[in-house]
Amino acid sequence: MKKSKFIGPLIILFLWFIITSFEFINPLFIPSIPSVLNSFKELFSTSSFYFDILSTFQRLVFGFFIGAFVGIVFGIPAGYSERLYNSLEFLIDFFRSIPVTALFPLFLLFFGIGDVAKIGITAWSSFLIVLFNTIYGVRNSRKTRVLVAQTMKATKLQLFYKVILPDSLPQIFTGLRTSLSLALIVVIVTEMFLGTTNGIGQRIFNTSITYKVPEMYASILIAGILGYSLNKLFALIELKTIHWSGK
Amino acid sequence: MANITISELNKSFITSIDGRRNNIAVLKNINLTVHSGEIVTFFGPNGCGKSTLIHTIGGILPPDSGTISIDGRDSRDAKIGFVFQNYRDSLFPWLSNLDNIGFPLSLEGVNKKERIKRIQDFIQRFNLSLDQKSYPYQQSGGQQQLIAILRSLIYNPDLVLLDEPFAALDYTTRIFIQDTVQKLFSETKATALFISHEIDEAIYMADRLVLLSKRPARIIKIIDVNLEKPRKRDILKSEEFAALRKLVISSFQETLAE
Repeated sequence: MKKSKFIGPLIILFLWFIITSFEFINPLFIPSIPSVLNSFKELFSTSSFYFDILSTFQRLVFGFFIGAFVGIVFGIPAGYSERLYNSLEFLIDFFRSIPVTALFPLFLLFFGIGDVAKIGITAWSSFLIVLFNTIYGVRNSRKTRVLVAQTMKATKLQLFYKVILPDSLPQIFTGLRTSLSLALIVVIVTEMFLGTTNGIGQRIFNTSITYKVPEMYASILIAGILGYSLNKLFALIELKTIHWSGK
Repeated sequence: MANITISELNKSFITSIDGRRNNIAVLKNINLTVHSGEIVTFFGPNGCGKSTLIHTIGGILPPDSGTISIDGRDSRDAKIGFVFQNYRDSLFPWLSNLDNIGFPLSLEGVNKKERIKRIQDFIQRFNLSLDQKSYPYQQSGGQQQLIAILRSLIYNPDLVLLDEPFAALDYTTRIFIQDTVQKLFSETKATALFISHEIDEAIYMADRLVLLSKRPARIIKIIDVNLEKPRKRDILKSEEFAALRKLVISSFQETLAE
C-alpha cells in the first residue's frame, strides 16, 4: 500500500485534534476525538447497537437485491427489443426524474411505516438505476461482436447469452454499484424520518435531537464505514467477474 | 472451401438529406467468380463501397438485386469467417484466447475437450505461439488479430472475409501477420475475400486482385497475380512485382480521372 494514501486522513485527524484541543469551535458541534472514541466503545458494548447495524444492513440488502433483480429482469428485454424500449423510454426517464424522497409519502400510504415501506422504497430506487443501466448495456453491445456471431450462424438465443449479455455486464455492474451507494442513502433517510425504532439512521437522528453529539459522530462514522466496506467489497466482486471492463 | 459466384449484384442505400430521400447506388452490377481456395483482394478508392460489398457477400446486408451463391447455396446459409479491422471490438474480451478461437465451434455444439484438441492441433500444425489462458486485452495488437483470424478459420468456413485486417497494425507486425496468414490460408485451402487499401499488400496477398471504381463500385479490372507461392518478402523487390504494381496504379489512376 502506498504511504501517501494515509496523508489525507492524517491531516483531517490532525485538524480535528487541533480544533477540539483548543476549542476553536464549540465542542457541541465538534466533539473531541477521545469522546467520540469513547462513544464507540460504549456503543460496541450495547447489544442494541449491533441490532441497529444489522437492521440497516438487512433493509439495504433486501431493498438492493429486490430492486437489482427486477431491474435486470425487465432491463434485458427492454434493451433487446427496440419496440419495447421505445414504448418505455418516456416512462423510465420520467420516473427517474422524480426524486425518490418525493415518493416517501406514497410508500407510507401504501405500505405503512413498517419495514415493507423502507425496503420497498430502497428497492424502487435501485430498480430504476439498474433498469436503465441494463437497458443501455444491452442496447450498446458492440455491433461488430454481434456481426461476428451472426456470420458464424449463431442462433438468436446463442447471440443473446454468448454475446449480448456478457457484453452488457460492465454497464449492468455500473448500475449495481451506483444503486448500492444510493440504496444506503435511502435506507438511512427512511430510518430517520419514517418512524423506526432501530437502524443507524434512526440512531443518528435521535442522538442529534438529544444532543448526544459524540454518539452521533460515532454513528455517522459507522454509516460511513458500512458504505465504504460495501463499495470495496463490490469493487472486488467486479474485478473478479468483469475482469475485462475498461480494457 | 467453396466456389463462389456473384452475379449482377446491385446495392444502394437510402439516405435523407434535408428531408429528401435519396437513393445512393453503392454497388453496380458486380460479377465475380471465386474459385475454391483462392484469395481475391479488393482494391479501390476510399468509400467506394468495398465494405458494403463484402458485407453483402457475407449475408450481413441484403442485396437489392443479384445473387451470391456459395457452392450453389445462398450466402446466408454459408459458414463465414469474418475478420474486421478493429480486433478490439470483434474479439470477446470475457473469453480467454482459447475460447475466443473456439467460439464458432462452441456455437456448433462441439464440447470443450474437443475444441481444445482441435485448436491445439491447429496451433501446433502452424507452429504458432499463443498464450491460450490469457485474455485478448492482455495481448499485443498483432496477437489479437491473429486470434481473430484463427477464430475465423477454425470451423472450416466456406468463405473468409477480411475487411482491412492489418490496417491498425504497425509495419513489422503487419509483415509477420501477412506471412502467417498466407501460410494459414494456403495450407487450409480457405477461400478468402480480402479488402486492402494498401497496394503492396493487395498484390502480395492475392491470387487475383479486383480493382474497384469510385462509388458506385463496379469492377474495373481483375488482375491475375501469378507470383510464385509461397511468397517471400523478396518478391516485393522483384520486377514482376513492380510490373503488377505499375499496372494497378495506372488502372487506378484512370478510374480516379473518370
